[in-house]
Amino acid sequence: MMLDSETTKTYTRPISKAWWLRDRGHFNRRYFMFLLRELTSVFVALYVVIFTYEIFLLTKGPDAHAAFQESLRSGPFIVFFVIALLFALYHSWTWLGLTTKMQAAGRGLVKIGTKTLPPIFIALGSYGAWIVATCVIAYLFLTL
Amino acid sequence: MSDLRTIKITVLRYRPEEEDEPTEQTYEVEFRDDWVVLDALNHIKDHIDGTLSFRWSCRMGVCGSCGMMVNGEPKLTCAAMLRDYYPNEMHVEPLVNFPIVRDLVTDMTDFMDKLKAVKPWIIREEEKPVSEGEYLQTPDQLKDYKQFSQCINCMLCYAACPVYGLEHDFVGPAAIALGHRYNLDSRDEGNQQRQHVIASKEGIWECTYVGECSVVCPKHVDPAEAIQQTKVATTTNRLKSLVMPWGNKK
Repeated sequence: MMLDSETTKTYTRPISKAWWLRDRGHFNRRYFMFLLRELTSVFVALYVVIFTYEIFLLTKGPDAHAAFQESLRSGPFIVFFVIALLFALYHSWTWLGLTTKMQAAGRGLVKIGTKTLPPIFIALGSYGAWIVATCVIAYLFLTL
Repeated sequence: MSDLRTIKITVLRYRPEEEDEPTEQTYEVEFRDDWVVLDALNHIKDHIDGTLSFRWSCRMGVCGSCGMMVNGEPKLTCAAMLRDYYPNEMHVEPLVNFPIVRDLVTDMTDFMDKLKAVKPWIIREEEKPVSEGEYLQTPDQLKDYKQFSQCINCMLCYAACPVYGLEHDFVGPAAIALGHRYNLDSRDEGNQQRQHVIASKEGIWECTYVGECSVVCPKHVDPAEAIQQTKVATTTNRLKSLVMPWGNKK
Protein backbone atom coordinates (compact mmCIF):
# COMPACT_ATOMS: atom_id res chain seq x y z
CA MET A 1 0.00 0.00 0.00
CA MET A 2 1.38 3.39 -0.97
CA LEU A 3 1.22 6.20 1.54
CA ASP A 4 0.13 9.75 1.00
CA SER A 5 3.22 11.55 2.28
CA GLU A 6 1.23 14.78 2.61
CA THR A 7 -1.17 13.37 5.18
CA THR A 8 0.80 10.57 6.84
CA LYS A 9 3.01 11.53 9.74
CA THR A 10 5.92 9.13 9.52
CA TYR A 11 9.00 9.08 11.72
CA THR A 12 12.50 8.72 10.26
CA ARG A 13 15.09 7.50 12.72
CA PRO A 14 18.42 9.35 12.66
CA ILE A 15 21.54 7.34 11.90
CA SER A 16 24.17 7.49 14.59
CA LYS A 17 27.63 8.68 13.52
CA ALA A 18 28.95 5.59 15.27
CA TRP A 19 26.75 3.19 13.29
CA TRP A 20 29.86 1.29 12.22
CA LEU A 21 30.78 0.57 15.85
CA ARG A 22 27.45 -0.23 17.39
CA ASP A 23 24.36 -1.10 15.43
CA ARG A 24 21.26 -0.55 17.59
CA GLY A 25 23.21 -1.50 20.67
CA HIS A 26 24.85 -4.54 19.09
CA PHE A 27 28.40 -4.69 17.74
CA ASN A 28 28.50 -5.63 14.06
CA ARG A 29 31.97 -6.88 13.14
CA ARG A 30 31.28 -6.68 9.41
CA TYR A 31 30.34 -2.98 9.56
CA PHE A 32 33.52 -2.33 11.53
CA MET A 33 35.72 -4.23 9.08
CA PHE A 34 34.06 -2.41 6.18
CA LEU A 35 34.84 0.99 7.65
CA LEU A 36 38.36 -0.15 8.41
CA ARG A 37 38.72 -0.97 4.71
CA GLU A 38 37.47 2.49 3.79
CA LEU A 39 39.94 3.99 6.28
CA THR A 40 42.85 2.25 4.53
CA SER A 41 42.47 4.77 1.69
CA VAL A 42 43.45 7.60 4.02
CA PHE A 43 46.76 5.96 4.88
CA VAL A 44 47.46 5.01 1.27
CA ALA A 45 46.72 8.62 0.23
CA LEU A 46 49.06 9.98 2.92
CA TYR A 47 51.78 7.62 1.75
CA VAL A 48 51.30 8.82 -1.84
CA VAL A 49 51.65 12.44 -0.66
CA ILE A 50 54.94 11.63 1.12
CA PHE A 51 56.19 9.68 -1.89
CA THR A 52 55.25 12.50 -4.28
CA TYR A 53 57.02 15.04 -2.06
CA GLU A 54 60.11 12.81 -2.03
CA ILE A 55 60.12 12.75 -5.84
CA PHE A 56 59.63 16.53 -5.90
CA LEU A 57 62.73 16.93 -3.69
CA LEU A 58 64.82 15.27 -6.41
CA THR A 59 64.44 18.54 -8.32
CA LYS A 60 65.98 20.38 -5.34
CA GLY A 61 69.23 18.49 -5.47
CA PRO A 62 70.71 15.35 -3.85
CA ASP A 63 71.29 16.97 -0.44
CA ALA A 64 67.66 17.99 0.06
CA HIS A 65 66.50 14.54 -1.04
CA ALA A 66 68.99 12.71 1.21
CA ALA A 67 68.02 14.84 4.23
CA PHE A 68 64.35 14.05 3.75
CA GLN A 69 65.11 10.36 3.30
CA GLU A 70 67.03 10.43 6.56
CA SER A 71 64.07 11.97 8.37
CA LEU A 72 61.85 9.15 7.01
CA ARG A 73 63.94 6.72 9.08
CA SER A 74 62.70 8.27 12.32
CA GLY A 75 60.39 6.36 14.68
CA PRO A 76 57.07 8.09 13.90
CA PHE A 77 57.54 7.65 10.14
CA ILE A 78 58.43 3.98 10.55
CA VAL A 79 55.30 3.43 12.66
CA PHE A 80 53.27 5.20 9.97
CA PHE A 81 54.80 3.10 7.18
CA VAL A 82 54.10 -0.15 9.04
CA ILE A 83 50.45 0.87 9.57
CA ALA A 84 50.13 2.00 5.94
CA LEU A 85 51.60 -1.31 4.77
CA LEU A 86 49.20 -3.35 6.90
CA PHE A 87 46.24 -1.31 5.65
CA ALA A 88 47.40 -1.61 2.03
CA LEU A 89 47.71 -5.38 2.44
CA TYR A 90 44.25 -5.59 4.04
CA HIS A 91 42.70 -3.47 1.29
CA SER A 92 44.38 -5.45 -1.49
CA TRP A 93 43.46 -8.81 0.03
CA THR A 94 39.78 -7.94 0.51
CA TRP A 95 39.52 -6.17 -2.87
CA LEU A 96 40.94 -9.16 -4.72
CA GLY A 97 38.67 -11.44 -2.69
CA LEU A 98 35.76 -9.56 -4.25
CA THR A 99 36.67 -10.82 -7.69
CA THR A 100 35.20 -14.20 -6.81
CA LYS A 101 31.83 -12.49 -6.36
CA MET A 102 31.45 -12.14 -10.10
CA GLN A 103 32.03 -15.84 -10.44
CA ALA A 104 29.72 -17.63 -8.02
CA ALA A 105 29.50 -21.35 -8.63
CA GLY A 106 27.26 -22.12 -11.57
CA ARG A 107 26.31 -18.57 -12.54
CA GLY A 108 29.49 -16.57 -13.07
CA LEU A 109 30.46 -14.17 -15.83
CA VAL A 110 33.49 -16.08 -17.08
CA LYS A 111 32.43 -19.21 -18.93
CA ILE A 112 34.07 -21.90 -20.97
CA GLY A 113 31.38 -23.01 -23.38
CA THR A 114 28.31 -23.35 -21.19
CA LYS A 115 30.26 -24.17 -18.03
CA THR A 116 31.12 -21.52 -15.45
CA LEU A 117 34.77 -21.30 -14.51
CA PRO A 118 34.98 -22.22 -10.79
CA PRO A 119 35.50 -19.11 -8.60
CA ILE A 120 38.65 -20.61 -7.09
CA PHE A 121 40.42 -20.05 -10.44
CA ILE A 122 39.48 -16.37 -10.39
CA ALA A 123 40.75 -16.08 -6.81
CA LEU A 124 43.99 -17.90 -7.58
CA GLY A 125 44.50 -15.79 -10.69
CA SER A 126 43.91 -12.52 -8.81
CA TYR A 127 46.03 -13.33 -5.77
CA GLY A 128 48.68 -14.98 -7.97
CA ALA A 129 48.98 -11.92 -10.23
CA TRP A 130 49.18 -9.70 -7.13
CA ILE A 131 51.98 -11.76 -5.56
CA VAL A 132 53.93 -11.98 -8.84
CA ALA A 133 53.61 -8.21 -9.44
CA THR A 134 54.74 -7.52 -5.86
CA CYS A 135 57.76 -9.81 -6.24
CA VAL A 136 58.76 -8.21 -9.57
CA ILE A 137 58.53 -4.69 -8.11
CA ALA A 138 60.40 -5.74 -4.97
CA TYR A 139 63.12 -7.36 -7.09
CA LEU A 140 63.50 -4.26 -9.27
CA PHE A 141 63.50 -1.99 -6.21
CA LEU A 142 66.10 -3.99 -4.33
CA THR A 143 68.48 -4.68 -7.23
CA LEU A 144 68.44 -1.52 -9.35
CA MET B 1 1.69 -26.81 29.56
CA SER B 2 4.86 -27.28 31.59
CA ASP B 3 7.02 -26.49 28.56
CA LEU B 4 6.04 -22.80 28.64
CA ARG B 5 8.78 -20.28 29.27
CA THR B 6 8.54 -16.52 29.66
CA ILE B 7 10.56 -14.04 27.65
CA LYS B 8 10.66 -10.25 27.83
CA ILE B 9 10.17 -8.53 24.49
CA THR B 10 10.73 -4.80 24.16
CA VAL B 11 8.98 -3.39 21.12
CA LEU B 12 9.50 0.01 19.54
CA ARG B 13 6.11 1.74 19.48
CA TYR B 14 5.18 4.76 17.38
CA ARG B 15 1.65 6.12 17.50
CA PRO B 16 1.71 9.24 15.32
CA GLU B 17 -1.55 10.60 16.69
CA GLU B 18 -0.18 10.45 20.26
CA GLU B 19 3.57 11.03 20.08
CA ASP B 20 6.22 12.79 18.01
CA GLU B 21 8.84 10.08 18.27
CA PRO B 22 8.93 6.36 19.06
CA THR B 23 8.93 4.95 22.57
CA GLU B 24 9.61 1.48 23.93
CA GLN B 25 7.15 -0.92 25.48
CA THR B 26 8.05 -4.20 27.17
CA TYR B 27 5.82 -7.26 27.17
CA GLU B 28 6.24 -10.57 28.96
CA VAL B 29 5.26 -13.44 26.71
CA GLU B 30 4.84 -17.09 27.64
CA PHE B 31 6.02 -19.13 24.69
CA ARG B 32 6.34 -22.70 23.56
CA ASP B 33 9.58 -24.10 22.19
CA ASP B 34 8.39 -23.96 18.57
CA TRP B 35 7.29 -20.31 18.61
CA VAL B 36 8.88 -17.75 16.34
CA VAL B 37 9.05 -14.00 17.02
CA LEU B 38 5.98 -13.45 14.84
CA ASP B 39 4.01 -15.87 17.06
CA ALA B 40 4.97 -13.75 20.06
CA LEU B 41 3.82 -10.56 18.32
CA ASN B 42 0.53 -12.18 17.39
CA HIS B 43 0.16 -13.38 20.98
CA ILE B 44 0.72 -9.83 22.22
CA LYS B 45 -1.83 -8.46 19.77
CA ASP B 46 -4.43 -11.13 20.55
CA HIS B 47 -4.06 -11.36 24.33
CA ILE B 48 -2.07 -8.45 25.77
CA ASP B 49 -2.25 -5.31 23.65
CA GLY B 50 -4.49 -5.15 20.60
CA THR B 51 -3.11 -1.77 19.56
CA LEU B 52 0.25 -3.17 18.42
CA SER B 53 0.64 -2.88 14.64
CA PHE B 54 2.85 -4.97 12.37
CA ARG B 55 2.76 -6.58 8.92
CA TRP B 56 2.61 -10.29 8.28
CA SER B 57 0.93 -12.69 5.94
CA CYS B 58 2.18 -16.16 5.02
CA ARG B 59 4.14 -17.12 8.16
CA MET B 60 6.39 -19.33 6.06
CA GLY B 61 9.17 -17.15 4.61
CA VAL B 62 7.53 -16.57 1.25
CA CYS B 63 5.60 -13.30 1.37
CA GLY B 64 8.44 -11.19 2.77
CA SER B 65 6.17 -8.90 4.77
CA CYS B 66 7.22 -9.64 8.37
CA GLY B 67 10.78 -8.28 8.21
CA MET B 68 11.83 -6.43 11.38
CA MET B 69 14.94 -5.67 13.39
CA VAL B 70 15.37 -8.41 15.99
CA ASN B 71 18.09 -7.50 18.48
CA GLY B 72 19.51 -5.10 15.91
CA GLU B 73 19.56 -7.53 12.98
CA PRO B 74 17.14 -7.52 10.05
CA LYS B 75 15.17 -10.78 10.25
CA LEU B 76 12.02 -12.37 8.93
CA THR B 77 10.17 -12.71 12.22
CA CYS B 78 8.43 -15.84 10.95
CA ALA B 79 11.84 -17.51 10.77
CA ALA B 80 13.42 -16.22 14.01
CA MET B 81 12.94 -18.73 16.85
CA LEU B 82 12.25 -17.28 20.29
CA ARG B 83 14.26 -20.06 21.94
CA ASP B 84 17.39 -18.75 20.20
CA TYR B 85 17.07 -15.48 22.16
CA TYR B 86 15.85 -16.89 25.48
CA PRO B 87 16.59 -16.22 28.37
CA ASN B 88 17.79 -12.76 27.36
CA GLU B 89 15.42 -9.87 26.79
CA MET B 90 14.63 -9.25 23.13
CA HIS B 91 14.28 -6.00 21.21
CA VAL B 92 12.02 -5.81 18.19
CA GLU B 93 11.98 -2.70 16.00
CA PRO B 94 10.75 -1.81 12.55
CA LEU B 95 13.27 -2.20 9.72
CA VAL B 96 15.81 0.61 9.90
CA ASN B 97 16.46 2.96 6.97
CA PHE B 98 12.72 3.26 6.33
CA PRO B 99 10.30 5.81 7.79
CA ILE B 100 8.02 4.36 10.47
CA VAL B 101 4.31 4.61 9.75
CA ARG B 102 3.11 3.02 13.00
CA ASP B 103 4.79 0.72 15.52
CA LEU B 104 6.56 -1.98 13.46
CA VAL B 105 5.10 -0.90 10.12
CA THR B 106 7.40 0.99 7.74
CA ASP B 107 6.75 3.04 4.63
CA MET B 108 8.01 1.02 1.66
CA THR B 109 7.16 3.60 -1.01
CA ASP B 110 10.81 4.37 -1.78
CA PHE B 111 11.61 0.72 -2.35
CA MET B 112 8.56 0.18 -4.54
CA ASP B 113 9.49 3.19 -6.70
CA LYS B 114 13.02 1.88 -7.16
CA LEU B 115 11.80 -1.62 -7.90
CA LYS B 116 9.53 -0.28 -10.63
CA ALA B 117 12.36 1.83 -12.06
CA VAL B 118 14.51 -1.24 -12.87
CA LYS B 119 11.62 -2.77 -14.86
CA PRO B 120 11.66 -6.22 -13.26
CA TRP B 121 9.81 -8.00 -16.02
CA ILE B 122 10.72 -9.51 -19.38
CA ILE B 123 11.04 -6.86 -22.05
CA ARG B 124 10.92 -7.82 -25.73
CA GLU B 125 11.73 -5.46 -28.57
CA GLU B 126 9.00 -7.15 -30.49
CA GLU B 127 6.63 -9.76 -29.08
CA LYS B 128 6.18 -12.80 -31.27
CA PRO B 129 2.63 -14.03 -31.90
CA VAL B 130 1.22 -16.51 -29.38
CA SER B 131 0.79 -18.97 -32.23
CA GLU B 132 4.60 -19.26 -32.45
CA GLY B 133 4.74 -20.72 -28.96
CA GLU B 134 6.77 -20.03 -25.83
CA TYR B 135 10.18 -18.45 -25.55
CA LEU B 136 12.26 -21.53 -24.88
CA GLN B 137 15.15 -21.67 -22.45
CA THR B 138 17.77 -24.30 -21.64
CA PRO B 139 18.51 -25.44 -18.05
CA ASP B 140 21.89 -23.69 -18.27
CA GLN B 141 20.22 -20.42 -19.29
CA LEU B 142 17.81 -20.80 -16.36
CA LYS B 143 20.73 -21.40 -14.00
CA ASP B 144 22.25 -18.04 -14.99
CA TYR B 145 19.56 -16.04 -13.20
CA LYS B 146 17.52 -18.47 -11.07
CA GLN B 147 19.13 -17.57 -7.75
CA PHE B 148 18.43 -13.86 -8.27
CA SER B 149 14.78 -14.65 -8.98
CA GLN B 150 14.30 -15.95 -5.43
CA CYS B 151 13.97 -12.43 -3.99
CA ILE B 152 10.78 -11.97 -1.97
CA ASN B 153 11.07 -8.16 -1.63
CA CYS B 154 11.36 -8.40 2.15
CA MET B 155 13.69 -5.37 2.23
CA LEU B 156 15.98 -6.86 4.87
CA CYS B 157 18.90 -6.02 2.57
CA TYR B 158 17.93 -2.35 2.57
CA ALA B 159 17.83 -2.34 6.37
CA ALA B 160 21.26 -3.98 6.45
CA CYS B 161 22.83 -1.60 3.93
CA PRO B 162 24.49 1.44 5.55
CA VAL B 163 24.98 2.97 2.10
CA TYR B 164 21.21 3.06 1.60
CA GLY B 165 20.81 4.47 5.11
CA LEU B 166 23.23 7.29 4.41
CA GLU B 167 22.48 7.85 0.70
CA HIS B 168 18.79 7.42 0.12
CA ASP B 169 19.15 7.90 -3.63
CA PHE B 170 20.92 4.53 -3.83
CA VAL B 171 18.79 2.15 -5.91
CA GLY B 172 19.68 -0.54 -3.40
CA PRO B 173 20.47 -4.26 -3.28
CA ALA B 174 17.16 -5.98 -4.06
CA ALA B 175 16.14 -3.70 -6.93
CA ILE B 176 19.55 -4.06 -8.59
CA ALA B 177 19.54 -7.83 -8.06
CA LEU B 178 16.11 -8.09 -9.67
CA GLY B 179 17.13 -5.89 -12.59
CA HIS B 180 20.21 -8.08 -12.99
CA ARG B 181 18.00 -11.17 -12.88
CA TYR B 182 16.13 -9.98 -15.98
CA ASN B 183 19.29 -8.80 -17.72
CA LEU B 184 20.61 -12.36 -17.37
CA ASP B 185 17.41 -13.92 -18.71
CA SER B 186 17.95 -15.24 -22.24
CA ARG B 187 14.36 -14.25 -23.16
CA ASP B 188 14.86 -10.61 -22.19
CA GLU B 189 15.94 -7.75 -24.44
CA GLY B 190 15.59 -4.86 -22.00
CA ASN B 191 19.17 -4.47 -20.81
CA GLN B 192 19.56 -1.00 -22.34
CA GLN B 193 16.29 0.20 -20.81
CA ARG B 194 17.49 -0.73 -17.33
CA GLN B 195 21.03 0.54 -17.66
CA HIS B 196 20.27 4.21 -17.01
CA VAL B 197 19.00 3.19 -13.56
CA ILE B 198 21.20 0.24 -12.69
CA ALA B 199 24.49 1.54 -14.09
CA SER B 200 23.99 5.10 -12.86
CA LYS B 201 25.85 6.78 -10.02
CA GLU B 202 22.88 6.00 -7.76
CA GLY B 203 22.95 2.40 -8.98
CA ILE B 204 25.81 -0.06 -8.82
CA TRP B 205 28.51 2.60 -8.44
CA GLU B 206 27.04 3.81 -5.16
CA CYS B 207 27.70 0.38 -3.66
CA THR B 208 30.97 0.27 -1.72
CA TYR B 209 30.56 -3.40 -0.91
CA VAL B 210 29.74 -3.72 2.72
CA GLY B 211 28.30 -7.12 1.84
CA GLU B 212 25.77 -7.17 4.67
CA CYS B 213 22.86 -7.38 2.19
CA SER B 214 23.91 -10.89 1.25
CA VAL B 215 24.49 -11.90 4.87
CA VAL B 216 20.94 -11.05 5.96
CA CYS B 217 19.11 -12.26 2.81
CA PRO B 218 16.74 -15.04 3.95
CA LYS B 219 16.55 -16.51 0.43
CA HIS B 220 20.32 -16.48 -0.25
CA VAL B 221 19.82 -14.29 -3.29
CA ASP B 222 23.22 -12.68 -2.74
CA PRO B 223 22.49 -9.13 -3.97
CA ALA B 224 26.15 -8.17 -3.42
CA GLU B 225 27.08 -10.75 -6.04
CA ALA B 226 24.52 -9.30 -8.46
CA ILE B 227 25.96 -5.82 -7.98
CA GLN B 228 29.56 -6.92 -8.48
CA GLN B 229 28.60 -8.92 -11.57
CA THR B 230 26.76 -5.91 -12.96
CA LYS B 231 29.79 -3.68 -12.35
CA VAL B 232 32.00 -6.04 -14.33
CA ALA B 233 29.44 -6.53 -17.11
CA THR B 234 28.80 -2.78 -17.42
CA THR B 235 32.51 -1.97 -17.54
CA THR B 236 33.11 -4.70 -20.11
CA ASN B 237 30.24 -3.43 -22.28
CA ARG B 238 31.54 0.13 -22.12
CA LEU B 239 35.02 -0.99 -23.14
CA LYS B 240 33.52 -3.04 -25.96
CA SER B 241 31.52 -0.08 -27.21
CA LEU B 242 34.68 2.05 -27.16
CA VAL B 243 36.77 -0.48 -29.03
CA MET B 244 33.99 -1.68 -31.30
CA PRO B 245 31.49 1.20 -31.61
CA TRP B 246 29.84 -0.58 -34.53
CA GLY B 247 29.02 -3.59 -32.30
CA ASN B 248 25.55 -4.65 -31.26
CA LYS B 249 24.67 -2.66 -28.12
CA LYS B 250 21.39 -4.40 -27.45
